[in-house]
Amino acid sequence: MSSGAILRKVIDMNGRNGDARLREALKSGTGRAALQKERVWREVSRGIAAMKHERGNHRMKRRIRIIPLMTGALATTAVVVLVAFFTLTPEGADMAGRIKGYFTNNTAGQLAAGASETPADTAAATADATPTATPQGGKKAYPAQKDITIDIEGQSETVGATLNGDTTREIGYVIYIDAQRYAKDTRDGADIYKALNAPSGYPGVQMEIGRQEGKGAEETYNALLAEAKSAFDTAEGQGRVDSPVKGWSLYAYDEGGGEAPYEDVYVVDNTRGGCFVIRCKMFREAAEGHGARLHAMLKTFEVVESSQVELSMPSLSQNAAPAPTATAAPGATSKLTWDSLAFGGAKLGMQEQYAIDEILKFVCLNGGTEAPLTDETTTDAGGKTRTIVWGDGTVAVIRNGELYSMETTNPVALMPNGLHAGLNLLDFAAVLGQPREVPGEFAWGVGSNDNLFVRVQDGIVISVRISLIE
Amino acid sequence: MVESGAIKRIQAGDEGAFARLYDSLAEPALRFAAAILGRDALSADAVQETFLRVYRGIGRFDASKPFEPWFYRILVNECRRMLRFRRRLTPVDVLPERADRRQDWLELYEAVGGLPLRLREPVVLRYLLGYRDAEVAAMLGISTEAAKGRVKRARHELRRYLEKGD
Repeated sequence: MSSGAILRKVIDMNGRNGDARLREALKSGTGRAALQKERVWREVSRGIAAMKHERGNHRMKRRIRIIPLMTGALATTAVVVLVAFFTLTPEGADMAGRIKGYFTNNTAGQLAAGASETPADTAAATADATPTATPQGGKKAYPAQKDITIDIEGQSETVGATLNGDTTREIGYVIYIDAQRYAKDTRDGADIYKALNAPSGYPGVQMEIGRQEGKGAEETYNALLAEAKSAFDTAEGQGRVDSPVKGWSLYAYDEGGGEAPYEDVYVVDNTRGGCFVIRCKMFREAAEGHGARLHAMLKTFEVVESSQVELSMPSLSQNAAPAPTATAAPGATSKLTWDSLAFGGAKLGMQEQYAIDEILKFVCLNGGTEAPLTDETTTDAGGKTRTIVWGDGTVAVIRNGELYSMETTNPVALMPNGLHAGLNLLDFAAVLGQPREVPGEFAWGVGSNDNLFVRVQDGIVISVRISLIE
Repeated sequence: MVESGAIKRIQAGDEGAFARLYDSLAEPALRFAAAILGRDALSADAVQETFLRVYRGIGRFDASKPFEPWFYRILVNECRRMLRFRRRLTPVDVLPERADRRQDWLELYEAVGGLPLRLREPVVLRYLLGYRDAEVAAMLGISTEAAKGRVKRARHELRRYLEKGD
C-alpha cells in the first residue's frame, strides 16, 4: 500500500468518518452471527423446559425429606437411650470399644499416620539442600535456604525460601524465592517467577525481573510510568522508595472485578548506568496474598557484582521432571491431607445429596449440563453403589449414601490446595511431594493407602481422581 | 430500550413477555458476542447461556433499574468465561462479499478482533450497539472515565494497526 493510501486510512480513522467506518466494519463482520437467532431460541426454550422439570423434581425430593425430619424427635430420644447404654453399662462399654477399634484401624489410624510431617522428611529435605558456600578470597557467600516472613492481613507467616537469581553477567542479582509456590522460567531475557497455584480462569501471577541497559533508573521509571498511564485505567508513581527494594516504584491497575489486572513495578539501579526492572503482575483479588508474598521475596533482592559472590543454587526450572519413586510405600513422601481430598465443595465422605449439589456447581461452571450422561446403581454384599457420569468428564461414586470417590477432567474443579486437571505434573509434585507410580497413574496417599491419582499426558495432568480407600 | 413493565411481566411468569425480550435483544447480543469471541458457534453458546441465566435470575432483578446494563454484564462475563478456556481465533465467520467491498471493512474488523479484550469490549458496545460512555461503563463495571479512556486507546491502537498494515 502506498504511503498516500496509508495516510488516507489514518485520516479516515479520525473524527466522524472513522466512527462510521468502525460501525460499518462491526456490523458487516457480525452479520452472519445474527442469523443464528432462531436456532439459539430453540436451545433456550429447551433449557427453560429442562429447568422447569428439575424444579419439579426438587419439590418432590424436598417433600420426601420432610418426613424423616418429622421423626427427628423420636430419633433423638433413641440416641439418648443408646448413649446411656454404651456409657453406663459394662456390656455397652465393651461393645463401644470394639466399634471404636474398627474405625481407629481403618480411618483414624490413617489420619494419625498421614497428618503429621515426619521428622525424617524434614531431615531429608535439609540434607538434600545445597550446602552453604564457603567464602573464598573475600567473596560474599549466600546460604542456599533462608526463612522469610510474610505479613498477610495482619497475620505473620514464615516460609522457607531458596536462593535464586542471575550471576551470569558482570552485574547480577540474588533473591530468595518460595519454591513451594513459585517456579522460575526465562523468557526474552527476563527471569519470570510464576505462581504455581493461581486459580484457573484468572490471569496468572508472576514476578518478572528484566534488565534495562544504558538507561538510568529514574529515566526508565518515568518512561514506564507514562506507558502504564496509557495501558491501565489507573497508574500512580510512588517515586523513590526504600522498601521492598531501594529504587523507584509505581503501581497500576484496571477497574472491574477481582480478575482485573494489577501491577507493582520497581526500578533498581544496577550501578553501571543501567537498571533492573521488576514487574509484579497479578489480578486485583490476589493483591493481598500473592502481593504480600512477592513483596516479602523482593525484600531479599540484591544487586551483586557476580565475581564477588559465591553461591550455588538449586534449580527451580520446570524442565526437570520428578523421579517417581516406584518402590516407595504409599504415603511415604506424600504431603497430601484429608482436607484436600475434595473438588470445590464436594468432599469425600459427604452425604450423597449435598455432594451432588456441590459437584453440579463446578460441572455447570464449566459449561456442562446438570443432567448426567449415566446414573447407575448396583447392590452387592458391600451395600449400594451409585455411579454418576457427567458430560464434562466428572464421575462420582456414592457408596451407601456417602461420596466414596470422584474423578474429573474439569479444570474448573479446584482442590482446596488449588490443584486441578490441566496443570503440569510438576505443579502437583511441588505441592504434594514425589508421587508413587502405579499402573497408568501417579498417586499420593494420606496414610498407608493411595487416595489421589492423576493420569498424565505429555507432562500435563489430564484427569484427577480422589478416593477414600483403594 | 427494555421497559420495566416488560420485566415485571416476565417476573410474574409471562412466557410471551420473555419471548419478546429475547426477540428484541438476541440479535445485538449475538453480534456483540461474535465481535468479542470471533466464532459464530461460540457466540451462540454465549448468548444461549446468557438468556438462561437471565431467566433463572430475573426474579431477583430490580425492575425499576435499567435492564440492559444487567443483561450485558451477564453477556460480557459469559464471553470472558469462554475466552478463559478457549483461545480466541481469528474471525473467519463473516458474510461473503464482493472481493473489493470485503476488503474495506474486513481489515478494520480484523483489527478490532486483534485489540486486547479490555479495549475490544467497550469499542463493540459503543460502535456496534450504540451505547453511550456511561452505559458502557455500567455494563463493564468500570467508571465512565475509564470507559472513555479505553475507547480512546482503542481508536489509537486501530490507527497504529492500519499504519503498520502494509
